Amino acid sequence: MDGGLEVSERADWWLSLAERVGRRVDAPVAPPLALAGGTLHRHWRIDLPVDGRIERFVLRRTASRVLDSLPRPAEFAVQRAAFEAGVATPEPLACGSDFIVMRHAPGSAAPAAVRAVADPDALARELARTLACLHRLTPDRLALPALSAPPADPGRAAIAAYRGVLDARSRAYPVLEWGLRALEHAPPAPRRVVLCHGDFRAGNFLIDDGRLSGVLDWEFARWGDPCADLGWFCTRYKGMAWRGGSAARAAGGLVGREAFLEHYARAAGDAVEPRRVLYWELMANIRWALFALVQTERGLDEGLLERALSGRRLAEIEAEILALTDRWLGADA
Amino acid sequence: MRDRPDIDALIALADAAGESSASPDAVALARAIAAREMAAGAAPVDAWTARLARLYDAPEGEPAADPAALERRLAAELRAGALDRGPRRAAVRAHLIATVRAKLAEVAPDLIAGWPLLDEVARP
Repeated sequence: MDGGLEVSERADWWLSLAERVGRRVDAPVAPPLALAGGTLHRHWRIDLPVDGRIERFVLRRTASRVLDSLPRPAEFAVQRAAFEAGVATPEPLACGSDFIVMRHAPGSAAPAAVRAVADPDALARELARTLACLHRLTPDRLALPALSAPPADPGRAAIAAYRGVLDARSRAYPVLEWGLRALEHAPPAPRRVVLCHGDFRAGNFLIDDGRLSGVLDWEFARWGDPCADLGWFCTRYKGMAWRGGSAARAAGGLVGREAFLEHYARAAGDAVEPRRVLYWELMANIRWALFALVQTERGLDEGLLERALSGRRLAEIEAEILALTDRWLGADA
Repeated sequence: MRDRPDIDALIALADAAGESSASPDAVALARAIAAREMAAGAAPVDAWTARLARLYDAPEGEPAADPAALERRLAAELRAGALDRGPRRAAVRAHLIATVRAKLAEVAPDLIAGWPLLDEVARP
């Protein structure tokens, strides 16, 4: 079905937006424009007359969820909280069970837009500041009933959750068990629990003229250890295709890990323990592996090759898990 | 040993790529994996089965136990901490490395060099 038709046929988002903005919102002046990107969601740019003036919005729509992703109303609540706290993200305006409407922000979310920036260090600094800003949101400062309760020990909670995902599979995955078991060996003591984005990486950054225009896709947000976002940002799997495995750009394909952690520590006003980041980087790779398994099953059910191929790429993630497990246990020795 | 999708599903999905709007890159990758898997034949799976059997002391030449069951047993032992130390730990690590290496050899052989530990084990 044509993307525009699909949107036009359902007016729930439009009615919700009109109700939320409290102004007169007329019908779109042009067919919705399907936007590129998004593996689980579809996005459209929509130009609407609001009190007679054309304003630009983005509709994000899906009922689909994967692994531990949030339902749309919870995602909306988190993005709204982040926006109000000053985190660079498009202003979310309305939501329903399967959609969010947000204000349009300029730029491209394609990973290539990150790759093409002229000053990667400047973008890395901007991303570190954004993450530090988000991580100032703590359970005692912000009520977010849409999220699960803050875990007392985020690492232990993640291990239990991931084992649950493995137990639901029809076969065993010894490499993932190898990594999970290693994470139980001398884990860092639970420290600060903060609001984490949960999928902080290229592809979820809107880049406009070399600068961060907004952080997107809040569906994996949760209360957790701030190093969970740092570790995820440093995973090799999503970045390796364009940084060739080079440690020089280990952080998000932009800069070295140490440089990014320094930027973050400066912005957060708090030292970052490299060992804690290593712990969460190993955890992040196990999470990627679980995503791959779930995506494969969905891809096979839906007959979608790209999604199904995730299962064959599991070997790349497993190689990284083996290497990081050696580092984790060696670092502790 | 080989992950999903199996070779038949890979080929079917690649053949149906036009209907599902799969990208040419994905189709090419699926066909390349299938081609490498066909060229390798049963050898990588046989080697994996033999390694698992050795981990569990199966006598040489005897019919191997169900490798999927042995893999479940291995996973359970790892989770329980039974392999945290002791003489079997090194053998298990070598098995996991060899298994991942064998899978990567079919999926993305150009990436193997990116993980030096994958060269610690002999090629199958």
